Amino acid sequence: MDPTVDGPTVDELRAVFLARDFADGEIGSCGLVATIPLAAMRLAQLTHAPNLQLAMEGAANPSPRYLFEVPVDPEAHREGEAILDLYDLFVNSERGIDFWFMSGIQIDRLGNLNVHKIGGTRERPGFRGPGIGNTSVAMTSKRWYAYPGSHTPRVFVEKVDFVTTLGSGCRAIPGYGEGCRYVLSNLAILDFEEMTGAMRLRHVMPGVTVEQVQAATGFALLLHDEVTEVPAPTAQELRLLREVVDPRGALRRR
Amino acid sequence: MRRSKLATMEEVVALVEPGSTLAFGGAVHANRPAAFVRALIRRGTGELVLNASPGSGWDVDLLVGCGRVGKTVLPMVTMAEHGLAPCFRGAAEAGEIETAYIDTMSVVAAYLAGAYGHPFHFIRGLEGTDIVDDPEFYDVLTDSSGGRHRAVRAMTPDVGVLHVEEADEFGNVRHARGRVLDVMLARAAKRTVVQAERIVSNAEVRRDPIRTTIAAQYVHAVVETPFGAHPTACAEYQTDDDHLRAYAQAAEARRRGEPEAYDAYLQQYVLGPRDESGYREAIGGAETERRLREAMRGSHG
Repeated sequence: MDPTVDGPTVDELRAVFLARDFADGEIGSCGLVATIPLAAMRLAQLTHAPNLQLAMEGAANPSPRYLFEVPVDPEAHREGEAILDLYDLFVNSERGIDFWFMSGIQIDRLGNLNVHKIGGTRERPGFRGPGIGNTSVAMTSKRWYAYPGSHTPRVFVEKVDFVTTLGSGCRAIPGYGEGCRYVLSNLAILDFEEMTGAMRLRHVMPGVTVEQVQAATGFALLLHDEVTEVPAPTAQELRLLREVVDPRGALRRR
Repeated sequence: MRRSKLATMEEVVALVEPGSTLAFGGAVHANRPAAFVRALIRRGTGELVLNASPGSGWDVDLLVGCGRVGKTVLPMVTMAEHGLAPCFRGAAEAGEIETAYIDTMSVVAAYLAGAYGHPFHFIRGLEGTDIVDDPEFYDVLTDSSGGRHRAVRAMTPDVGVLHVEEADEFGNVRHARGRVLDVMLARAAKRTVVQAERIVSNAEVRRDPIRTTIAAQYVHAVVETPFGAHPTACAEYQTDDDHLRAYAQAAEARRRGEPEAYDAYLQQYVLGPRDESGYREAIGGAETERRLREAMRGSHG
């Protein structure tokens, strides 16, 4: 595989960026829509973090043949070291682990995430989302990462209709971690300013401009002093992703 | 003589009364008691309250689509790879069902309290969200030093229903892979019924007791139900993604006002077949079973 010929996709760039953010020896886990988080954790294990622990909902440190979407699928347990159940996840959630991941239907300026409803009333929502499996584990973790499905003004809103998961506001609550560290969208990677907790543009995806990201966002973004392109993967990272972690190309579909 | 707990599907679905609270084991599209759900729909029991499960999909959507559900207390309802759950979404948005806003760890805590017979279980990590303002589920308790602690009220579902790979006639259960919430559910529910791919002998269970994941004391009845998780998976066969995709498309079409494909689905797979053997014929018989069993073996080889 020659990455100069067959360059990384947006999802591969997100997975590599996340993988580099995990430290060796940390404990991480994820819920549904698992492909990007799982790719990132597996890649980190195969590169700089062999002691990274995957405490999945189904199994500990599984070695699946491909990236799965749903961690409770029997495929997700392949070559796991232990079967974990939701009591293990409850303990992890109450005591806190290092990191967790969230997708969602809305995210706002302060990184608050909504997976429940948009518009209407509680009894009769305008749009009823799937709801969230796990949210407390995100907030009691040292940090969590958001990877919303698409970067549009309907997803990136000034204020979410329902707070399923607290974003940068976690920093102010005793017993919580730093909250959302990065938002990884199909257009950009964003973080949160220290003082205000407001979302701030840090990297753009290749070929995307700052103006395009702002136009796709429903509130005024803060900007880093220098907004750069997302760091490129090494040839070794891309080879491991494509040959070992994701041979079916789940991250190469867009 | 020790009493056998072997039962028929008709006997166990009769345990469910209108308005009962039901809790299904497994999660999303793995180890779901699908045969029980089909039999319950044929029986016609309605006004159900569904709780438990970190994630639900096809089975909940089908029960809602058949008008059997009054309320859900489910952390997540999704068709996963196949999109949102159309009947659930449509009924919620129309105000036809009540959908509580709760997360998985709250349900786990509520089951732990239910299992102990305690009124509450403490829980951390919901501060700052919009989830915790529902007094049906949450309270804040004050200790003698003035410390305040969020707590979830106990849940004890009327009937818990699991699909597992093996059980014996007395109710000893052996999961082959993931347990998800099943072990806690069996302890919290007033009655737990188990669908098993096959019945193994009590002697076999005694030879290797470490493999028993739920002891007989927690189990009310066992129904031998081969292929009974279909279209969801268990350790012995894969999820039938073609079936779930077709269901999701039919349900979405109905949500948009075109019910024909959904009605055809119900007739072909749920209301039409008299029982599970009829259902197994309707999905393509031995050929379909062989394909899904081999697919699971392939992914674990």
